[in-house]
Amino acid sequence: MATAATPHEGVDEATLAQAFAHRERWAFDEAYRRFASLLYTVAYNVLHSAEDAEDCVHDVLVRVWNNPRTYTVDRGSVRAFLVVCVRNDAISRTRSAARRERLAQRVGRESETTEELHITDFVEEQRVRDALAQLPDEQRTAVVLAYFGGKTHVEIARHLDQPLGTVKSRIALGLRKLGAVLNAGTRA
Amino acid sequence: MIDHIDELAELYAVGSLDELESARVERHAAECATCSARLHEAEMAIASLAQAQAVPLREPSAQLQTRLKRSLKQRNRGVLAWRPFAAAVAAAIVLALIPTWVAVDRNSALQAMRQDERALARLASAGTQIDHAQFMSPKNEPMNAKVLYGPHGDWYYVVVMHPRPNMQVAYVHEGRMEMLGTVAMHGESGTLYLPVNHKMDELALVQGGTVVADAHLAY
Repeated sequence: MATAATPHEGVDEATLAQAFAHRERWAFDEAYRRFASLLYTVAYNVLHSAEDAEDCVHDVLVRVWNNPRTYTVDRGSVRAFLVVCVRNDAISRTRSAARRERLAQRVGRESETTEELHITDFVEEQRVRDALAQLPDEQRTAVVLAYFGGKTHVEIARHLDQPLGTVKSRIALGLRKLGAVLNAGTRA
Repeated sequence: MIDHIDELAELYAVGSLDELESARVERHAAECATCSARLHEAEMAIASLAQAQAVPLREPSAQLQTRLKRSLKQRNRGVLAWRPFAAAVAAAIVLALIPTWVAVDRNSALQAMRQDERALARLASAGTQIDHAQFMSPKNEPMNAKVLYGPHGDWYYVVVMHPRPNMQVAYVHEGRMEMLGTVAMHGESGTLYLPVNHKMDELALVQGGTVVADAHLAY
């Protein structure tokens, strides 16, 4: 990614968000300069393929930019918005059966149980590990299966043999608690 | 507008919804500041997890930026190219399909023709002062339908290819839909001219009470 100074390098997140919402072209370029590596890594971590990850980031950015109502200032941080868009698109790609099979071959195995999902294998940052450890067991399990396992809430309910509503509530509560801990003092 | 998305915000952010549910959440969030704020909180949590997991940070190839520039440029070219041909497109649709009107209800056909005559007159006098917006499906895919409109919001001309019978056009505003009229069928295409002197920023195509596509208009 380019590292040269740009006229908008010093622009704060709020100004970038306003300009991005109003589709000022410089905001797209600046968002790409700031977040391309993160977005690409997020996509890569789901897809395990450089080519697929680039396709994913490309398609998401074009779709977001061509649909002005997709992002509004109320949505907050452009970075967080794009991360979720890219990640959801990447997950959606892996959910096709054929792709899932190829992905399983690439990574050697597919995680099916919480026991197989070691958070420490994925998250090096102690702050995030501590935040996850603060969640009640059932909420942590639901969040971990959803986030690291890439499962839908329907799949998680089936996997844990719990009612769908219970699983939805556990994910929502777990993520809200996690957000409260992680985002304290780091709001965009 | 659907009810508030509540816990669907967190399920969306964590990637646990299917594509249809995700599209519903995105549509609602675009209209609702309360739910946008809840979605923002959830997205910030996911961004923190993603950032922590993104070690080491990987670099995309230089081709990605080149591809993006090309894609956005093509899109801009498409917007510009549409304008000079807008009147011709509308005229071609009307002229090519006049014979098929014989087979439809006479009054509807006459009404549609009068509407289209006014639309053509408006398009011809508008010169290059024509904007357009693409109708998108709930899955955010482009439909074969557009709305041409004046930059001052004083007229709108909806063109739909292969419409189903009784397709309606609605103005979506503050969570409510106001039906504006029914698309007149002309064989493979349908049109509706709306000389409404009001800036409408969202139009929907409605079939049997269900929104099948919407378009966002910018001024």
